Amino acid sequence: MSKKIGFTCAYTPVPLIEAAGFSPFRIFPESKAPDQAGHLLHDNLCPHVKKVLDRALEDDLPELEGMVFINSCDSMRRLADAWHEARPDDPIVLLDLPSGINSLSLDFLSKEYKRLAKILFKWNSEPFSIKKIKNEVAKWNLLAASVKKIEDTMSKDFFPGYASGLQQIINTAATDSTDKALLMAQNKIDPEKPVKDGQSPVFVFGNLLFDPKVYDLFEEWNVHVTASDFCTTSRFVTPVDTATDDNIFRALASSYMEQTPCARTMDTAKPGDIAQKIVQRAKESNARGVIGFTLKFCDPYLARIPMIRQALQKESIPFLMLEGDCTMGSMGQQQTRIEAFTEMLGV
Amino acid sequence: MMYDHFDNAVKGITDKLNQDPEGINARKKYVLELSRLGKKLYSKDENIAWCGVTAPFDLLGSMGVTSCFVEFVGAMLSSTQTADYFFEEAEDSGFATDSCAYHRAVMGAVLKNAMPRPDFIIGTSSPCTAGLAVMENFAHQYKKDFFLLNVPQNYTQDAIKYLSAQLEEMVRFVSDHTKRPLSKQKLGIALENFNASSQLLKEIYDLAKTKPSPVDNNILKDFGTVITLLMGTQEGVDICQAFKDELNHRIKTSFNHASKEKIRLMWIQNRIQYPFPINEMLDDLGAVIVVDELNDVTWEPMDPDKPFESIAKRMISIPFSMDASERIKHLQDLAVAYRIDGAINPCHWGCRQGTGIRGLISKGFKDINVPVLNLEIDCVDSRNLAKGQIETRVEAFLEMLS
Amino acid sequence: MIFLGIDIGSLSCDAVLIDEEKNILASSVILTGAKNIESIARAKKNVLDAAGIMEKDIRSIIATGYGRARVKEKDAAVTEITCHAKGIKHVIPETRILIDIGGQDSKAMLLDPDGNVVDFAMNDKCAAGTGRFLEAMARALEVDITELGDLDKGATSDLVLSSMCTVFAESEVISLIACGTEQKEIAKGLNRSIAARTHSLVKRVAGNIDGLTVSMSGGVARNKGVVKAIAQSMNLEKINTPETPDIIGALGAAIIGFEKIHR
Repeated sequence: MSKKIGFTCAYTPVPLIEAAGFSPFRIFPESKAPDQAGHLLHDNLCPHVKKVLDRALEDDLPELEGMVFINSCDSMRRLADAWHEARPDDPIVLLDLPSGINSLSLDFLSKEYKRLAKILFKWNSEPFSIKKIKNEVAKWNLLAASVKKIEDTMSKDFFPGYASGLQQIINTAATDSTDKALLMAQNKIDPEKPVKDGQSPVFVFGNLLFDPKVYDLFEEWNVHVTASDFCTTSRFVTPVDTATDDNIFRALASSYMEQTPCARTMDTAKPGDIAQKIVQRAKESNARGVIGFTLKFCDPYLARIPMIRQALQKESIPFLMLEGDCTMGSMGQQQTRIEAFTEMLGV
Repeated sequence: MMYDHFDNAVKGITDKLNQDPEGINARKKYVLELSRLGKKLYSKDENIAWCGVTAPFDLLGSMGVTSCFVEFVGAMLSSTQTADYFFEEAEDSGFATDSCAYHRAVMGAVLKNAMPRPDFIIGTSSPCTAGLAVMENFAHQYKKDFFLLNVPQNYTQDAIKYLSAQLEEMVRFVSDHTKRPLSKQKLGIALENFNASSQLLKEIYDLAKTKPSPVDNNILKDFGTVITLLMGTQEGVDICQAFKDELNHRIKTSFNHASKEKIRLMWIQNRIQYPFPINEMLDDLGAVIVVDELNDVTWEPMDPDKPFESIAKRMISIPFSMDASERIKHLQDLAVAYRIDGAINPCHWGCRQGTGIRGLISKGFKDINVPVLNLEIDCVDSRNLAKGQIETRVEAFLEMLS
Repeated sequence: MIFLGIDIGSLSCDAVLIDEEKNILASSVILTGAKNIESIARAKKNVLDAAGIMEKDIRSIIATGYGRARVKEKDAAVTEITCHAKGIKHVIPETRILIDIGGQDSKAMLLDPDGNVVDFAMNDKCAAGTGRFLEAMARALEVDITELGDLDKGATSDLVLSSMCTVFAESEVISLIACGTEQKEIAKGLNRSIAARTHSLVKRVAGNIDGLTVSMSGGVARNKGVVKAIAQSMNLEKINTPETPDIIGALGAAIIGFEKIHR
């Protein structure tokens, strides 16, 4: 059985984990573990973080060789803090992730990624190898390209079951291996015949939506997901631009920071750019409306929703904002809103 | 409206101080200086920068910039009971009620055009992601240039170098906007003032440790965070001196009789900003908040030869913004140094940074046998205050301690 | 041809029968209760009996409301948002802003001049400001829900309930009673707090409501005190309410059935 490294944030470069000889294991917030994280942290905390911590407290995890945490937001930071209590024997590395994109930040993050790579190789008693990292990055880029192709197909026509299939591929890359995900992606590229009627083309974005079943529900509620921007979809499979920088860590840093980043990252030269990016992606994917789905208590998204709403309004793109936790139950409660939204958009 | 508020405050406090020329009146002098800062922020002829909480106000001040953190305004709107109007405005425009009310109040004020228009914005990634998001909103709303200081959360050599380099860039950014270069001499004076203020703060806090303590429940309220706005100035030094004198005077005149101080408390994070008679309740029961978490000097003196490195170290080394283990260790050290009987943790609604480790903090206090009371309360938005419930909890906690 | 609309909400189950001219032949409003399948059957039987029509004469059945999927014999399910918009267009055609306060949801809708929904906003998960909220408050005030509408008559103070949460508001009402606050003042305070919430929903769909006709549907529209408080909060002379506000969703559903056939 492969040795696994746990992680929780999309800013974790999976190629570094695989180059060191480990399998990636993204800990999704899916568990029947009782709600106890609030006791260790606080009840009014991001449900993603709480559920992941519940899994740790309940030992609802495979054997892990170590954990990679990213200091991406206050809640993630708190998760790393609590992990020391929940699983004191896990080796832990916490990366400091800058909030703004600029040359100094990219330099700093490249050093952080290099530090991560060295630690991972050390954990596996493997000699540090840039060559191995580059090989894994190349493979990762193949996966990213295949995913992009599937997304392009999705944005043009509606293929039932396609969106949830894509989610399964991405989840495989997050919890198993890039190789397996790549194989699945390549088999999926030629879809069945598109269905022409009955669905409203919608772009969906937010922080985290990982369960493939959610996409089936969307379809049941007449949504054709033309593209999505979640840290469990396109933001996770970030292509690494190796052409512009020979330093692989710098290439990782600039790619992860600049390519469709999470709301917590900002380009200070263009404040509020996240809103423009959402408008742009909605348009590019031929969507007629936009659904935002964010987790309760997610500060980075909560604070940006007003400007996203404003930007979409300016472009006359209808917008539906939903809030929930990570459970399918919370999704079910959104049925009326989503159906009313598609009735409003028309098909 | 806001200018008038500060102007009236300046006049009112000045009158009171004139009536008592011999008195020390440290808190009044401090509020006077903050009101003057408020007036400057709202007078349109200053270079104004809205900033994150940990921005280097001494450095900005030495460059002729009037700067302040936005939470200061949130606290003021709450304390003057004018915040509800702004909360509603922010909420109507889509700001979630789950967000921090310091920030929600100022976003409402921005939307209602009740905030001074900044010339530029200096965001800081610490202490919290929510605060930074608000700074981005400011830059977006006002269409003003935005400089972001990424404050690393681990104290390492790389982190210090990274932040120092950013501070140098910030100086270039500010100079480009004010058309004034950084004067080494002025910066030297600001750092000298900062060091003098820091030294006095240490002495003030040492006096507060005395048993019985010369502090009452109000005198050092939210002092540590807000005094950073003034520490690079001569006025800041004078205020710190006044506080030191006042505490010394109180010790000499046995201000707080041993019999009055029955329970010594620590207050974690910030106080409740709107009028809420918690201080009176504590007074009645003989409980004194002898220490606030954020009233501490956790940095080395600034080295005028290495200003950016010194400031960078200072910004990174604030325990509140570091790992939970560092923050809890700091709380434990304070608990021992001040010989407290118990701690109150007001878990400010919407604050993931401060209250997110509520459980770990409780455990940290348990490890040193200090009882802690977690109060689920919004320190800024009074609309959901369950007054009776809070009072019962506080009273029961104090009964338990006594 | 006859068209049936059924609106199965959390509190009430409503049915409306219309004919070819969209005339209402019969309508029924009953409590949903715990077994909604039985309520659906009962509401249907009520309207059929009242109109003297056989089930086989029904050309189409459209179901709406949160239990719409549970209506087995439906031809289609359409959300209550689209149905209320359709229903109000039929009875108050000039409506551009529609407020619908139901049992567990309150909604604000912006309609275009043709009555199509352009934007809508719903309350978040909590029940503050909804029919359930009023039920809880009536309980705290120890009055029947139907008495609540006139309870604020003659109130003079500007008391506002500060708590937004149903649970907190209930305990706030209880403590106001304990302090000797008059029932009418509390009722007015309640209405004001619902009005503030509802107004906030409207602001989310329309920043400026100048010149737009505002109407209200749903069972709570029968509560004069609430309607008046919302109008005051929105600075309106009046808010239009249909004669039978609780059947607007079911009426809209029946009309959608009619339009599907005649498209």
